Amino acid sequence: MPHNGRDLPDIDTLIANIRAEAKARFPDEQPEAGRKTESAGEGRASRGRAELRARVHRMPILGPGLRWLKSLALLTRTRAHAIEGLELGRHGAAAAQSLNRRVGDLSGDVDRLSGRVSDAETVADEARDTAERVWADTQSRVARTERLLRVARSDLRARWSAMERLQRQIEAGGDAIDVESPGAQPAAVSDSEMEAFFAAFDVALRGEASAIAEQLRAYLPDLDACGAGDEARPVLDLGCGRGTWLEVLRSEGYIARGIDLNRSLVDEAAAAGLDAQVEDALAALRACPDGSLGAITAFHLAEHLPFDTLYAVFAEALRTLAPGGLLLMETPNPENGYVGTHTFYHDPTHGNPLTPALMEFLADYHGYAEVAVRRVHPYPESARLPDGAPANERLNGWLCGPQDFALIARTRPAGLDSTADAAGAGAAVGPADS
Amino acid sequence: MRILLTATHVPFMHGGAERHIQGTADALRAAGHAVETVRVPFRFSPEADVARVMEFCEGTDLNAPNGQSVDRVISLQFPTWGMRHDEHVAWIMHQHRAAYELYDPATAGRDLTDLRPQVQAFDTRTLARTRRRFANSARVAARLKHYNGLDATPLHHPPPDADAYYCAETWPYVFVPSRLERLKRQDLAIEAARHLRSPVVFMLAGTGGQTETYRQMIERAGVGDRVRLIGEISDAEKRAWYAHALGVFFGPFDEDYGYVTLEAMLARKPVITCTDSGGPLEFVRDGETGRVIPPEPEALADAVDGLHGDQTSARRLGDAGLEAYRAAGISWQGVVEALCR
Repeated sequence: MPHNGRDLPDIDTLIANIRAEAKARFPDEQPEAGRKTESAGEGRASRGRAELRARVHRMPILGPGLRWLKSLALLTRTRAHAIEGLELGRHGAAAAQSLNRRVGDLSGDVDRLSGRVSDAETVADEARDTAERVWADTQSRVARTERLLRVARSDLRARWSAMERLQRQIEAGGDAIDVESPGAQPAAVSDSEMEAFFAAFDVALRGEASAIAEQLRAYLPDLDACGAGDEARPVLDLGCGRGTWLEVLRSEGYIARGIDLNRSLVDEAAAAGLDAQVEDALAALRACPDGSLGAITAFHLAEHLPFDTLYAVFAEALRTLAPGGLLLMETPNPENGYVGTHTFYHDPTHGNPLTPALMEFLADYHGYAEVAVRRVHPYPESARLPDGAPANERLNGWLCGPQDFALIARTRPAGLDSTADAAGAGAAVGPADS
Repeated sequence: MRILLTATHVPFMHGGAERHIQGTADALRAAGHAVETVRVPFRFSPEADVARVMEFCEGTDLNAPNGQSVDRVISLQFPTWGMRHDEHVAWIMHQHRAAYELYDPATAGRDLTDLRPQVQAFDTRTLARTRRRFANSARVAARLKHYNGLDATPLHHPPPDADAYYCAETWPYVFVPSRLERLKRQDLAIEAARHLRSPVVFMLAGTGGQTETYRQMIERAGVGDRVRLIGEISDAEKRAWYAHALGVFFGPFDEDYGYVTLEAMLARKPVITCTDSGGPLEFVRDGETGRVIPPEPEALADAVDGLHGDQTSARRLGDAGLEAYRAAGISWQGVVEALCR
């Protein structure tokens, strides 16, 4: 800031300069501290190569052979120095020549042998890559089959009990049968037409995928903090839509799959090569074994669910998350006056707005160990009334504050015994840590 | 070790204490300990509530809650050091100041006058029971010695994000960051503005109970072009304000510790503080790392004019400040070692 040293500086210019510098110097200060520097995929690939090299060296025959060849190669490199020393001895000239020849021969042998070993290494590399691919593919197929089986089994159970109920009703009299048939009232438009409408509506109202992806990236550190996203602790995204979040996760090397009820959005995600399926959130969770997920995410899903379903999702998530696992739910923030009175109702499939207090209590009540609410996406600076007047500040707080909030809940980490369990589920309260 | 960290919880009032508690928990966890924080709700008044919380704490035994083993209790705040544990270490952030150095018989009500001896007896009794005692600063240790006759070792900790501070080109303002409270004495800066001869302005950051009083004071004195209340600022903005300041004024009355002093030193800025400011005096040496002045507006104006008139010296004071900070060896690692010894 240029200043002549005689006149008073202009305070407003000072403030503007400081703000600009703060923004330029610490652009991602606020929620998303600590961006990933190395793409997880790259990191894993290079670790894989190092591991392979180590394995080859440990092989019973190839390993020692390679080490022997390496020491030979070292010998030929020191040949020049050896010759110098011998020539100094004059008498050893002939011996040196003969030795030189033999070392020369040996060095040729070494070159040929190294060539063959490196060919062999390449073949081993390829074979191993193929084997790893096949193995990963097989594992994911087996896992998928197991999932499908579990879904089929629970479906079968539901149908079986419905049949039993019907049978009892028939036996009891037969005239009081109530069959809930979705086709009883013909729908005004077909499901697929509605799905297409909401797919278009999603783009128009929520914004471009690239902008959303940028916002979603802010949650990557939360996944890292709980170690989610590898084979043993994959991410499950409920209400994945067209897979914006799954795409972010894939590009950063996390293992994730998603489910959504909108077939046309799921088709888009699947076409992009993402692991997305048409499935109901609760059914998908029920099909997962205990402690099998690293993180469960749900962006703008909770506000669509009937409350008892949301409640059940919290319970099922607690069961299916691994110790220290993460439940992350983002939903519109009704604390913002515009959201609570207006924008929330853009989407006719929304139920009631959910408050941060309710979501926090839901997680506490179910016994999540660490529960936090993060308010995000405030209105842009330009929408604010000028700061200074108390009335403006109050209006800014009410109208220009965060439009969404995220519930971030972690399950109890392994190795910590829960005293709350012993005291009974109703009294389940996490540790009093801030 | 399995460590319980104890502190009070004053709902929705977030200042240095919150960051201190969080920083301690984080540092202990980083050193591999299992840490849980026990927070006791606290309100300063009515006085009967303070007495109730003292009684609650002293009646709470944390040796093996619900059969869970606890290796150590580290208490940070009054009255949680009353809780019982065989390996109890107190790291005293500060005592209940209203019953000590801030107690003024002329303005204190009956209830406070009655509470005062109870608080002092409680501290003397319960702190004597602890295995080891540390104080947040030498100032806090001195008060404990003076009022309770107990020794405590001063144990300093770094301010949050200590690595992020930086120094940049000097712009003609003095930075005054603190909550706007009477004890922080921002009124000294407002009154000093009238006496300034150099073209320097005071930038007051923070909010608090005195916001409106200070705003009116600026208006009445007609120094709006010399002093500005900029309210709450982000951490990034705070660091930028430090980086470009000519100097930093931090002249509270008898502060316990004060992150401001350390933050200013990390940003290589001279600190102007007062002879009765307490904590800052552990780090600020007059003419070496800053200025120590009597708490008077004229003296403050003089000191600021001095910095502006000789900016080479001002920079030298700032550089010496950073060296003094480094020489003090303040680190979370040191804190953890002391608390877990």
